[in-house]
Amino acid sequence: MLRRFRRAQPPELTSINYTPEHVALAKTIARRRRIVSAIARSIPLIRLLLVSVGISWLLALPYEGLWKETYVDEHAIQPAQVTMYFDWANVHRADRYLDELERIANATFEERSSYTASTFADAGLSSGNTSHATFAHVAPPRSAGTETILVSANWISRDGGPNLRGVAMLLALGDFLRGQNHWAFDFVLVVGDSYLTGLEDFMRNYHSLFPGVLWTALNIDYPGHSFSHLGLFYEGVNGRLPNQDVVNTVAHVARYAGGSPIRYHDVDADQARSGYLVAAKHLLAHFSFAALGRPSGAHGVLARHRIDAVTLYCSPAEGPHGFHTLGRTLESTLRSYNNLLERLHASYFFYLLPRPDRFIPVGHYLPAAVLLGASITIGGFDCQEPLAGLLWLVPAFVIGYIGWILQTPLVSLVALVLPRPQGNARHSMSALAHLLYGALIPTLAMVNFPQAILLATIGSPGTDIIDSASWRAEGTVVRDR
Amino acid sequence: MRILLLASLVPALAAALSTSNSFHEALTLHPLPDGKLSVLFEFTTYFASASTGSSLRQSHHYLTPPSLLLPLEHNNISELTVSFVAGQWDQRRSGEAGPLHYESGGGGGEVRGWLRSNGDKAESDRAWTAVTHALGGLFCAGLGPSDEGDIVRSFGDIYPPHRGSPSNLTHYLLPHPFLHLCTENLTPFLSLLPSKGLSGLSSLLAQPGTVFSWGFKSEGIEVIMPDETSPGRWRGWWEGVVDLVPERGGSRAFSLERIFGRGIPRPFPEAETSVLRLMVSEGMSMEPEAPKREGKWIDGRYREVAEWDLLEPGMQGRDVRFWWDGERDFVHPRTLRPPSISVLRTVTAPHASDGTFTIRFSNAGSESRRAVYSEVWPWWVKGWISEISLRVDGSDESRDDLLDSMSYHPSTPPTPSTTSLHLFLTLPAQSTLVVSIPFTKLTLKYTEHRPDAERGVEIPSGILNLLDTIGEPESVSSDVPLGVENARQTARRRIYTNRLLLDVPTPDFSMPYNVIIMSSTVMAVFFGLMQGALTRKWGWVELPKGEGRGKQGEDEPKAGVSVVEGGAQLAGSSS
Repeated sequence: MLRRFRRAQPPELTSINYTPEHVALAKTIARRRRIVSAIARSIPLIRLLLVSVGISWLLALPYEGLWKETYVDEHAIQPAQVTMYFDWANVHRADRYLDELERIANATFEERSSYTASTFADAGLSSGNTSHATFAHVAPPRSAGTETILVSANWISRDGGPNLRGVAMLLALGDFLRGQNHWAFDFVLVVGDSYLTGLEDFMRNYHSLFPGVLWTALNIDYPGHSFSHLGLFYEGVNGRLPNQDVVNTVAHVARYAGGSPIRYHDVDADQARSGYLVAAKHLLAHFSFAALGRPSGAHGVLARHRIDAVTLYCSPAEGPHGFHTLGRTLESTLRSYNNLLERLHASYFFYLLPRPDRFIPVGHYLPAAVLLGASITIGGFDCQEPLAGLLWLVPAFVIGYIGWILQTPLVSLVALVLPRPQGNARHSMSALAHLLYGALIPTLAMVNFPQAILLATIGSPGTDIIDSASWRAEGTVVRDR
Repeated sequence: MRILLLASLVPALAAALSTSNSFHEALTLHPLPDGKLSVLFEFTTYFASASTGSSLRQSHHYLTPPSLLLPLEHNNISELTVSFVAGQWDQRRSGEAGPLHYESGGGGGEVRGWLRSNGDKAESDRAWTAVTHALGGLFCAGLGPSDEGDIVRSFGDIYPPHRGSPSNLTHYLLPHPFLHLCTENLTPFLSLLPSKGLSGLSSLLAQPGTVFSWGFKSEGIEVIMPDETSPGRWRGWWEGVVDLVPERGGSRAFSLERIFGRGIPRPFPEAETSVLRLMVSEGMSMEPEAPKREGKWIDGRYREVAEWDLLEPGMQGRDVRFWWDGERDFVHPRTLRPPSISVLRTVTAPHASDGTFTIRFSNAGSESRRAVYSEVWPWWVKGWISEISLRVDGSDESRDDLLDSMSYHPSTPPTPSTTSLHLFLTLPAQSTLVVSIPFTKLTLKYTEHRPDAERGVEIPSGILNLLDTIGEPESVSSDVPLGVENARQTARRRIYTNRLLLDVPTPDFSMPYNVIIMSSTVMAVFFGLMQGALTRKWGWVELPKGEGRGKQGEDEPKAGVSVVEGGAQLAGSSS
């Protein structure tokens, strides 16, 4: 401090800076202004830098250094730690149900539904129908009926074919579960019509039929006659993911209790190929479902009811696995679910899965979206007339809202014939839109990372920078006028 | 000499006591239509007042447990019922509205009773709390109120006293929906019995490995204290449901040996009666054949009851076998006849903050019934009473005419307290009445969440109290055919709903630390700004030419700046 005063120029007694301190301050202020203006000039460069780091981060996600090994967080689950009772007699039952189902495969829903309902009833379960689903209720002796686990198999598989083996498995499971007294939860078994509608219809009616709270669920999808791998599909509607414990439990159980290798999304994770490419394939498969909010299996409709669920997809193959492997996997998984004392609640809902046994924790992938969001936010700092900009944003919001009410994006065509803002109002509106997206993208990335990335890509940061540079030039002209 | 005298007195004393004290036990087997068997143990003791007339405070107990009766006597209890229920009673599949023992409560634990009161409310409350704590010690469960506000006082009409007029008695009810069967421990119950699980029917019960593997389980005691005119009675019951069908299918045939692993036990010498009863279902045979078979009205149906006297010589060690003629593989019926009245309570639209109780009352009978439906809610369940709606299943038309009146005792949040609600309903014949009660969940305090907060909280079962039952007549004309039904000829007055778990809005319990960190940061930033603003002095400086904001700097030679901590050094700078 003192040295700064000593170095200072002598004060000019006639000017305003008549003390050494004034002189020093003047220099400081001048220096600060120079820095700010230098930064302001290089904003496009900074944005470009942020975007390129963000994109490189995205591209680095399939690289192993960002991954962690999976583990089961909820200690109560204890996957694959139980003696299993599902045996060949149960497999035989499933085969017999399958014969019957093949006979009625092309019948109307009423006929198929009356067969499944009466089969469940013969096994000693209460069964019934909603308009698009058949359900059965297993009330094990020692269960209090306050919590319930849902197991479903829909008539149509996720690959479009009939899911007869899945339904046969569910029927055999109903027969298997009755009378066992180590269960603490009730079970509801659902056979939904078509791919998604049946289960969705059942869930709309669930709370007027059953008092039990649903925490976890499984969906069985078995289109082929044998399978080589169990494919886990975990994305729910609107990109909601089940608690990672559910995915890890099923994966662990399938391998160590069922004896079948697992895949995510039926992506071949052959070790012989490059790890980076395999991981990229996994992530792309995940992005293709989550970015558009599509469910990857019929379990997806349970997501909006706050139920952690996955689909077990038996990838069709010549073998070697069948009902025995699937039944034991289901039994052991249900036993793990049965151990839960409370809803799965650890902050374990945010993850990317690049390969079986590995995951990318939220802290390792979120920065990519934050960097992209930051770049867009910076583009919105130059807002000369916020009020005018806000006024011009109103029609845009109204169009969006009408589109949401009418459930069609075509409404946005109206924007083409509306008058457009000019000059400063235009820049301000654009700046506000930048600020909005800049705030939206990192926030959305927390709950649906792929969708946030999609949004950032549509925002197309590259052209945006060029655009903003031209606004800046234009803006300076306007200001000078 | 005195010892001799005393010794000669003892048999006389025992004889005097035994004339007024008696012990009865019964085991009832009730086959249910879906291949299950309801097994009910009942132990009944009649007893005279245990306190002797002497001036010293003393009491003699012969068949009765002092640990149970002394606290009751000391605290002026007139009647008391403790009930524990684990598992679920399936009304649809069993064809019965509830377990065989009518005093079984809803889900979890529950203590209720009548206290002789002299009008001093505080004194009665103190006595009640003392009794529940004493019983908690006895039954190894937290039976006492966790807070004074948990006690419900508006259920006197639902549980009328057996003796005395309600005017000088006070009723208390303490529901504990989350309590289970004493951590699955039989000892507290068996130790109350005079036979202690060593002989008589109680030795069949004293097998925790067997009886706790059963389905629905209900354990309870009911004590009516003696008064000047009549003796007291205490009854203990234990009921469970056994699945008769083997896990892999097969016949329902069963025997005492198969259920309990042993035959008829050694009789308890002090037991006045000891009987085995079977409610005979269609096509059933037994070996040895029952010496006595008679028709009885039980729970709205005229049924045949077979009875064996287990005190008869020669019964000890024998097995009793039961089977259905010609049955090799039991086929579960596809449709089951529902009980005349059944109740299902669910929560619809279960959001974090709101929900709606939907209670479905199904009346399968041919006449409409009158009943009171009662609910008890914790304080944080806030029912919208004016929004209660009634309709009959199958139509959307509102049927508010079926609600005659209601009585509502609101809670006083945020102090722990309970809301109780009684709806006086008419249940139309052969239809299902659907009552919807919307509610909001108030926010619980951080410290009020139970352990395992994410599980939610169980709330007490709703109770449907039938007003038009006419009891089970003892003497029946002999021409009544078996199986005939009259839904009103039952002594079951109360039907409980299923258990229910409510999701409660639960905070992330690591959040308080985040809140502390955030608010500390905000405080620090705020302090910095304030301190800066308060200690700053404003003045003018001139910027050097050509510097500052580039082009525009030339137009603004002067700029207002702040001089930090500069008050003294810049004495003359303010303009």
